[in-house]
Amino acid sequence: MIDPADVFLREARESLDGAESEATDGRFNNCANRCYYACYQAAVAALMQAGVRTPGTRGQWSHEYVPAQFAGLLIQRRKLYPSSLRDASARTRAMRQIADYEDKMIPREQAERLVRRAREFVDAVAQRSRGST
Amino acid sequence: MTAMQVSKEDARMQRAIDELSDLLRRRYPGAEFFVAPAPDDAAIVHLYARVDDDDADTVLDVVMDRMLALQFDEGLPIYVIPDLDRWRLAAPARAGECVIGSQNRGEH
Repeated sequence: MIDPADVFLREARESLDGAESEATDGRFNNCANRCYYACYQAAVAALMQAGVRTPGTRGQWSHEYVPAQFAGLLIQRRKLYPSSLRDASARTRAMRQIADYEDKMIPREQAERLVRRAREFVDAVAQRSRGST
Repeated sequence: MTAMQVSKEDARMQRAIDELSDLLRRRYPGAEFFVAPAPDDAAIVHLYARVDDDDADTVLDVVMDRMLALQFDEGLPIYVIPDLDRWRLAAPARAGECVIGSQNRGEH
């Protein structure tokens, strides 16, 4: 049986690959969008691996719940991930909002920084996932 | 949920908005703010901060520790979104590259 956390991690890797190729092709707004989802999907995988469940009964991982639980519960409280990752979701979220909903263009330097941040995030979750199997 | 509970939540969120705005104002005295629900999740509050800077990370550095504490410790889903005029598209330079407005926003 496929572990749902593995599926989210695979989705995160796919989003990250998309972010990297969008950055290479100069589509920095779409790059920011994919960086956010790479972190979001990796955070969902990390929460699942840690035995955290969705709030409520609908089984949905909300954009409100996931980043706060990753930073607060998995990093601050349980110390499962390095503190350098605690602000990744908030930063990628801000960039994604600008990229998707505002009349702005994400600069190359900022997009490349986002990709590095998202890669570090996804790699950390993947590394911990491999260590737990 | 009772009206009193709603009011209490609103008051906590307003205090959070004020606190984050104050932190940003200390660094950017001319900052302007706009509050709205997040377009992708109405439960999340966005505090848009229009400041004279060209690096969103520098803006977020000012509030990050407190913002994360508000989110997890106090359960308040609030995010600061830098609103940087310099990121408005000025004119195409060459394929795959954008030009970022460089004018100084003297009104801030």
